[in-house]
Amino acid sequence: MQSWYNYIDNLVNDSNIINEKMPEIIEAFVDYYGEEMREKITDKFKNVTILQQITPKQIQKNCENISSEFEKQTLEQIKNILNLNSVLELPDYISNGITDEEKEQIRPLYKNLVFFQGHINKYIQALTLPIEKINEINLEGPLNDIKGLLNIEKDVYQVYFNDLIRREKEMFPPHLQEHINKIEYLNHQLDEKKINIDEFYNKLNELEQTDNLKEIKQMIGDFDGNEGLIDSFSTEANEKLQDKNASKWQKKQILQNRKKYLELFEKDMGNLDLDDMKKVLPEPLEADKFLLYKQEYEFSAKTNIYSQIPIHQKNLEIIKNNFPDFAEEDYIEMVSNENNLGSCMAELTNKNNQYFKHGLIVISKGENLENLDDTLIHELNHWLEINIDIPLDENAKFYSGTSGWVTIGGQIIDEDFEENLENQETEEDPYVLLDENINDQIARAITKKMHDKGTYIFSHKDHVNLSKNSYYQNYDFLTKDFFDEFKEEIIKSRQVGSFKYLDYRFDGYVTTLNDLVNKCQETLGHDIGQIIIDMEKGKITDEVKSALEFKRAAEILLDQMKQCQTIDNKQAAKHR
Amino acid sequence: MDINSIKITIKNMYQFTNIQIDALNKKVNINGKNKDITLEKIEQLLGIIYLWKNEYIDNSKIDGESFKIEVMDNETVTTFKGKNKFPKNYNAFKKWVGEL
Repeated sequence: MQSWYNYIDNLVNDSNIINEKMPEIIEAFVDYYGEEMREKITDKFKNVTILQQITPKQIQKNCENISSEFEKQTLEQIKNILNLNSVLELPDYISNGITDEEKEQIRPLYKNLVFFQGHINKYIQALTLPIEKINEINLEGPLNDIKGLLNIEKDVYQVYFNDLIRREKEMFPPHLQEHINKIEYLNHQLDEKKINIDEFYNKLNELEQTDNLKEIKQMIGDFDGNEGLIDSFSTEANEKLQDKNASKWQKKQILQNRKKYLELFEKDMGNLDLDDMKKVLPEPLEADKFLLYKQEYEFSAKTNIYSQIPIHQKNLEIIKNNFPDFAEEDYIEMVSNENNLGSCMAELTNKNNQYFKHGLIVISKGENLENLDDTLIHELNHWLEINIDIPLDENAKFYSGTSGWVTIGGQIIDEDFEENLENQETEEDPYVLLDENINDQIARAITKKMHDKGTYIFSHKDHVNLSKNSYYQNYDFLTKDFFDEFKEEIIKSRQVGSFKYLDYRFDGYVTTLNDLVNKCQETLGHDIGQIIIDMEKGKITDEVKSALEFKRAAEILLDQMKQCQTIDNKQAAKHR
Repeated sequence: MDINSIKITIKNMYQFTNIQIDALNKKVNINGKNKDITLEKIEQLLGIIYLWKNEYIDNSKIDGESFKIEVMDNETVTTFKGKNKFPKNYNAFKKWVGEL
């Protein structure tokens, strides 16, 4: 039971666990790469900042998953004790046929389940409550440190949204004024403490049911990422209308949205065609000003939420210390983005013409918790393989470099740092998938070495499953033999960031393998996980047949590479 | 509807999503599985992406997420792509994908 609590604590609370375990992590890397790499590994890992990320929604989802997993396991144990074929037989058996002896046997398991779920449910309940209510919940044991983990996201956004509406009253047509007045009155009553938070939300919910709020949201968007019709009056939209390269459908959408907005003000636009509409539409509203205002509101709302979560409090402190130029807005945007499941970023800072390299790894605790150790090692291996070229020109604004076989680049942070200068290569690097797959194979091997020595960071030893983590590993069936056969050369080429070195060594066959992996993704990528499962089970489908053809092609390539090696060995012997 | 078809690809460390919309026949193929799609749903997508820039790229970051959307009408193909940098309403787009 205790281990489950620790598991949840690891999930939600800030912890120094990565720093504490760093010596063991380094040992696992050295164990894999060899003693000669110790210095490089140690130096590199001194210069990396690792942030843990989780959103309130993800915390809640994970607790629910843990609760249901615990229930599943307990019921399975009870089923085995009672010698039943399925847990579905449990209710009938317990009502009709259970003996006193069996009751005694299953009682402790059942008690544990009730105890555990009682805590978890309180925990989940707390996550969904407004902050003012949290003190009313009596939480015991290791789960009581949760005040900062509330899922107040929706509520905080709602308060800001309403505030925005009442402040920007003139943006709305007269027929919505009555609704806005009600919102204003509610906010005022809450401010004056004439109603409590529960009453506020109840009354607000009643108001939300009206069509008027729908119209308001349609006009100005919401904080759930949905744009409003007002966006079609922005400078951005104006530029798009003038842009010769913009598509007809984009321009039409802008004009349609403007028309809808004006119709909400009950201005009849009739059935004018696009050209006529351009003539009659008024000058754009002060949309930019409003959109900026809305953006600031959204940022305040997010900051309000994240500043209450211990992990993020600590992260913000680290960011301020290690990356003074990293804007708090960017941090909030980064961690509130549930798409960022794991990433590694290289930073190059120029201080009085002295360059400093630093890595920033972000790992999400929102997904695949059982394999989070592997994700961390995956990102650390990226950082180990990153080479940043120091620019010769001291006025350079951009750096370039490599991560394994992939080209990377970014802005140099200096005293004139101005964010978002456009100088980024936009074509997708052709080696990404093969590079990630090999990085993943290395990471899994290192993680396994670390786990074999008993070091677990986030993963729970009973639930870790290294064969089911990233999407990249689905391509092992094309690359594993290649990697196993030429591991030493592959690792060498990755450390120096040169795919060409390896490709030259094997007469261009590695490029052919890379193309094959990309082609496989293009053809089967959308369902590759299932195809691999079918392949393992010996099930023959059209997709499996196609995958087997790719596999055969990879095997032929491997034979050709081995022949290159044989010729090289013979030539080397001749020279000796 | 002026659009003929839309192709969407989303990649991250844990998934690869491929969506192909045939707007003329109101069909969508999501990771190899065919379904019907309404014009309203397609218009909803266009309403999300119509102001997007063509590119959002951050090459200093590895892993993370990338996306590509190609919208085809009778005359042109409009491509939107991004890597570790996203339009401000990207979550609305992800929500739209999730609801397919």
